[in-house]
Amino acid sequence: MTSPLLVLDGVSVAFGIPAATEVSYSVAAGEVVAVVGESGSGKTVTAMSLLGLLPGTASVTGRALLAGRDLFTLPAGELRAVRGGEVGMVFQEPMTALNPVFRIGDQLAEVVRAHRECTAAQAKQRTVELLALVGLPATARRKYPHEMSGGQLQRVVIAMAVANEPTLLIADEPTTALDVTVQAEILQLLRDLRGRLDAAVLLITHDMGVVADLADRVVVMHDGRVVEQGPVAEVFEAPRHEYTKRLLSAVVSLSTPPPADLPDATEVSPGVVARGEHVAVTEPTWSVPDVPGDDPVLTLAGLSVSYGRFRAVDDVSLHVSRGEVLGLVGESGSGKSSIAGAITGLTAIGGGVVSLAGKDLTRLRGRELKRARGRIGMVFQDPASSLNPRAKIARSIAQPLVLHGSLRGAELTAKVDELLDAVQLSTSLRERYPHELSGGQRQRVGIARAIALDPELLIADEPTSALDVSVQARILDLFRSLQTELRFACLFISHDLAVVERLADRVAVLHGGRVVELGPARDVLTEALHPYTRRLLAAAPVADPVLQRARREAWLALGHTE
Amino acid sequence: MSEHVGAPARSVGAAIRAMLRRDHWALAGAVTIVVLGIAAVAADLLTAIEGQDPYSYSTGALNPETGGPAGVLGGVSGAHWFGVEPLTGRDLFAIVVHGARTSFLIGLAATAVSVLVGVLIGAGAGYLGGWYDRVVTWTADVFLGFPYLVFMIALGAVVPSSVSRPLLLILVIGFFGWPSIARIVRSQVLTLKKRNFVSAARILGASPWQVFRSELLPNLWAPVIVLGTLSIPGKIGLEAALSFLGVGIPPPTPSWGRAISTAVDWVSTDPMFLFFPGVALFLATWAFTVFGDGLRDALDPKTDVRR
Repeated sequence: MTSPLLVLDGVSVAFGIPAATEVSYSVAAGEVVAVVGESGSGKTVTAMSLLGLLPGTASVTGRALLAGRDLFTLPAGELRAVRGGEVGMVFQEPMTALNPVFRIGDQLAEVVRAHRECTAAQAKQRTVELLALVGLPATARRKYPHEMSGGQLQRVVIAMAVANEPTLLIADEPTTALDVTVQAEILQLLRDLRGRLDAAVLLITHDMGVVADLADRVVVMHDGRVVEQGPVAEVFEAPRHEYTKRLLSAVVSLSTPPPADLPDATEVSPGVVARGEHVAVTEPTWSVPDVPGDDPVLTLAGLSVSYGRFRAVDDVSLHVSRGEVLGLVGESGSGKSSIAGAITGLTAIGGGVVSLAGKDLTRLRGRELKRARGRIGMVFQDPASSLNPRAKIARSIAQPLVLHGSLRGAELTAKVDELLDAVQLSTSLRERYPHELSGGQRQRVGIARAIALDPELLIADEPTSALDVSVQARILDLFRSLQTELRFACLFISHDLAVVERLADRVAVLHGGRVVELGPARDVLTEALHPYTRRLLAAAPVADPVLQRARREAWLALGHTE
Repeated sequence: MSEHVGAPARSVGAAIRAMLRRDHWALAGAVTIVVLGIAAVAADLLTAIEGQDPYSYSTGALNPETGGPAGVLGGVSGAHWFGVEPLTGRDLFAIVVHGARTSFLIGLAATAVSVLVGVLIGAGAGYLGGWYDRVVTWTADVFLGFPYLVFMIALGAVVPSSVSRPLLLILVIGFFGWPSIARIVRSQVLTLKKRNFVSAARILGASPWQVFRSELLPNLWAPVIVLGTLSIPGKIGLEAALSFLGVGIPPPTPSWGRAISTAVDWVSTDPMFLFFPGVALFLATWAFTVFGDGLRDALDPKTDVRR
């Protein structure tokens, strides 16, 4: 057996307080090792220390041997040669990893020429080769970063990382900022490259589905320490450490489809097929008509939202009944958030009707509009930005009550305590500031604020996607119990199909500003009618290596071209 | 993934206390400001202790042949701590401490005017946007390029002397200070506006004024305090410059600028006459500048320097 390519031996990183303690793992040549952990687990800090990319305040001890040389004691000049030479790096956010004022080709050529002497013609030649390697046409050379999509940019970043044929590729959350269908393509590319270049990959991620899809071995980190490591199949099959068990059980995965035993969908009107209440369009420019429901709280009829010439939402009709959760699924740019904005009044409506409990919000003005707004609660994606950093928790929660109610003084205090209690937070947090709370606690505060006025409609815009896996599961549980108790109508927006499956009664799938499919959650997410929904479902990785391999093959068979 | 809370979340007061413990230059600035401030407030008491006042002529302290002060160092003595003014024999210490009162009054009050106007206009432009924003931005650009010194000199000549000069200076200097404050506040509000806590308030039907008061203003304090403090020395200097040119504070009210203007003629025979008001003006502007710099380091995470 050959000696490993990269060996971390007792690596500790501290910024005053320890961020990673005694971390040891190794990566063999050509192997994909995934380091998983939640935020603050020290997984990124450890990997960044390898390339000397930590700020000057960090103190690093231990040894990190790359092909026998200790990276921590290497002189600056040699370390620079290692960076981008023997070790390539793929970042989380491709848009910020590229310089916006230079063409793709020039940026790639610069990377090529940084590490070897070559003429401009040779560099250009190599650039074309690299673009072909990551599945981009040679014409991409002439483009600027803003002219490309997130997935294409990540391909460019990967091309840069492999430009000098590195023996090790470090990928820090390479697909977190991408849509699920794009994520599947990037993962496929990484798998492909690893086979062709024989490079080892150190994959840093929080997504168990990505691990199951790509990795050979997995290193689980928690609170700066490695708690468990081993082959992916073994760790997922029989986790030994308590934390790994907790992490794996918290993962929200799509349920596996039951054996198909359903009648075929029939064409109910031109361009629309249906199977009971489950409808989908077959015409590319159509939107599914709304299925009328009883006692609708929110009704959207022919809603359109435009930004300049771009139609973000095109003729969308939906309703949410009292006590019902409607899941709104789609990728970035599908119009989910524009619909939320149109309902809450943050986005101007181009056409159509938004009515809440029978009243057309677009026609209300002044006092009546304000009263109607008070009946809508909203939970935001990022709990860090949805709370005023300079306001105490009690004030943030009391804000809707102060704006709309007549509660003051002791009554207000009592109501705030009651709300804190409802979201299972200690009332001792009332005098704290948001930065003193964890992400999950902040999101609970956001939920408390949203339900303060006992809303008829609650809009939740990706309420768990900024949270760690274990926190996400608990917030979803809280959400469900509140919904059963308070019986509000809920529009639940998410790109994560598994999360939607857990909460929603019905699901609407958005694609390019139109509803392409609508129906009961179980039917839509297991027996999709629309090809886009099927692609979406196939692309979502599940946290089970064996199952994921089968899903991956199904996804490849489906063809994944946009 | 690291979690970024955009604005520093600790309170402004705590940040200033921490800064004063850590940053010795800012501490020196703060101490100087306090000393000069006490001198300005207690000017009457200090000159009473000395036994002088800034208005009485005292020909006894002058050299009858030259008209300059009698004695060495511009007439420094137990009776006249900083010496006396040539030709009049007025006490220079009394002029300097009473001048501090004038400078601080105009510097601080004019800053208050700029900050008030700048924050209201800038926040309105950032939050409301549209044509109001365009008008404000355009006006601010015009004001920033305006030859305001010429304008102030002309205004000083035109406005009847029945109008209180200190009040006029405060209003004019303060008014010309709003564009720089408004620009920064506008850009801050533009970023704050996109944060969800502002959206949350808007969704609930909060009026622009309610959003401004409870959501925006608490997040604007830090930059506004820094900008305000850093603009004080400029305003003190501007008052001194106008008084130097003879269109500022009219005699006999003591003013550093006018004292320096008179002293220039005597610099070869009585350099100490220039020295004391000059040092006072230098100390005041230096102190506010280093204190303001310290504040910026403490309150603005983007210019975080380690000392």
